[in-house]
Amino acid sequence: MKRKWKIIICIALALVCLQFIRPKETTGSAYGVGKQLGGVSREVNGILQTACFDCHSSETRLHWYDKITPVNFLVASHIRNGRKALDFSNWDSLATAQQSAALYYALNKILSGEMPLPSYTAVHPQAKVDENEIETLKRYLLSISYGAKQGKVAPNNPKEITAVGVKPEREVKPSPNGIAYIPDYRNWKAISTTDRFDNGTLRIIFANETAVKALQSKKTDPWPDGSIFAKTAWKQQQNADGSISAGKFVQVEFMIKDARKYAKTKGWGWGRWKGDDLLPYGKTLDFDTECVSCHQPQRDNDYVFTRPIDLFNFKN
Amino acid sequence: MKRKSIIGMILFGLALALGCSSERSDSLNDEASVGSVQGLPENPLLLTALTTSIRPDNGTTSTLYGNELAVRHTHTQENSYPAGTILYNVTWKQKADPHWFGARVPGKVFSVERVSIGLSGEMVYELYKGSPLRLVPASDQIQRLSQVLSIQQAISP
Repeated sequence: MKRKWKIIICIALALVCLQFIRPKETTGSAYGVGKQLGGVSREVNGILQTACFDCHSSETRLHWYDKITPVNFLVASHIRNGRKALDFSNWDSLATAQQSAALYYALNKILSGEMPLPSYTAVHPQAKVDENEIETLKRYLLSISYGAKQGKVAPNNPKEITAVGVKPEREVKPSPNGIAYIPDYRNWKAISTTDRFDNGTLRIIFANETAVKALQSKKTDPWPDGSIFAKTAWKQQQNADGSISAGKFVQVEFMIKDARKYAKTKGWGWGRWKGDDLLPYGKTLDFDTECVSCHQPQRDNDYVFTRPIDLFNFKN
Repeated sequence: MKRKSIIGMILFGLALALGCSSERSDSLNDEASVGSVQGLPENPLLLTALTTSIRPDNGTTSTLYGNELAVRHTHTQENSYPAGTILYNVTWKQKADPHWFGARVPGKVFSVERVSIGLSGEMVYELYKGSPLRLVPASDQIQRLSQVLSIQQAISP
């Protein structure tokens, strides 16, 4: 009996001592000043503040129980990762298009149920985003979409389109993760198109022969090794008759399936080449963690957003 | 009695396992397929996609497809498509992308336009509409013919 008490007292003492060891993320002022994001309505700002700012800004508001060691270490790791992915404290340094993209990205993470983290809302239930708040965010995002701004911005200059010509052989640098550019994707089959009214682009998603064969035999769960997708984006170009066509080339992104070779990045090799110069995107070897985290909500669909049109459902 | 409940549990477990292993329900965009079209000589979706466009006024999206001759034309400086060209302009009603707020994807097929250039240069325009799609007369076919032929192809480096 005596021994039992000794152990309990020792543990309690250890816990008290541990309280002196705290990560820096949880030692700041208890309540940050509420930040008003430039250009964002008060209502939307309020929702973001309650649901996101704790981990996605330096306006972290901690409760006493968030500061107890060892809980605070878990809290601090959430905050570190959160700020790395999206930090609203840097809002003013972003261009308008980047701000809009960040908010669309954030809302889609909320819609997929990934954010706010369920482990966080379990302890901070007020951070949950309810249906009404989601509707408010949707309405706001539609109002700032590229499509909604069409009346306000000048149409793209048609001269931006380069003349059709014989394509010169060119050297394209590989992606920082070592993936090489694949030049012949325009001859692949188109499995879908998307009108991205959030950022004003039109996209065609091309699939190589292996992927198309898998589609034909409906064996796409998971996509077989060797499947490649090329998602090509062009700027939306306004025409005089009211239609919008594919204007200046923006980028092409590849997903290359090889479950073993790319096991670290969910079985896919990722690469993006931007602009007419086809400059590879990414600065570091592991830039593709960004690709994976965006595609994470599609983990039950082999990390693929596109739902291909059933090309083979045709009878004549 | 006990045995019955064990058998019941095994059956329930089997049903669960089978239910989970069945094909994902929304892995394809079935709605946007072309389906059966009497008299259409080829499957337009298996030709090469040349460009895509949208019409915000009626909520449609179109993709222009071409056969090999049409594709080769995109790599040359020539102004007009060569004899033997086959073009398809497939138009879908748009629907919200269920997986990305901020995008629209093809929904049901609205119309299929086929333009062909014969060996002696004669041009034929055909319009397929309705559900199921079938050949219908087009009042503005000369205009549509020249419009389809004048669609700029999407340029990529």
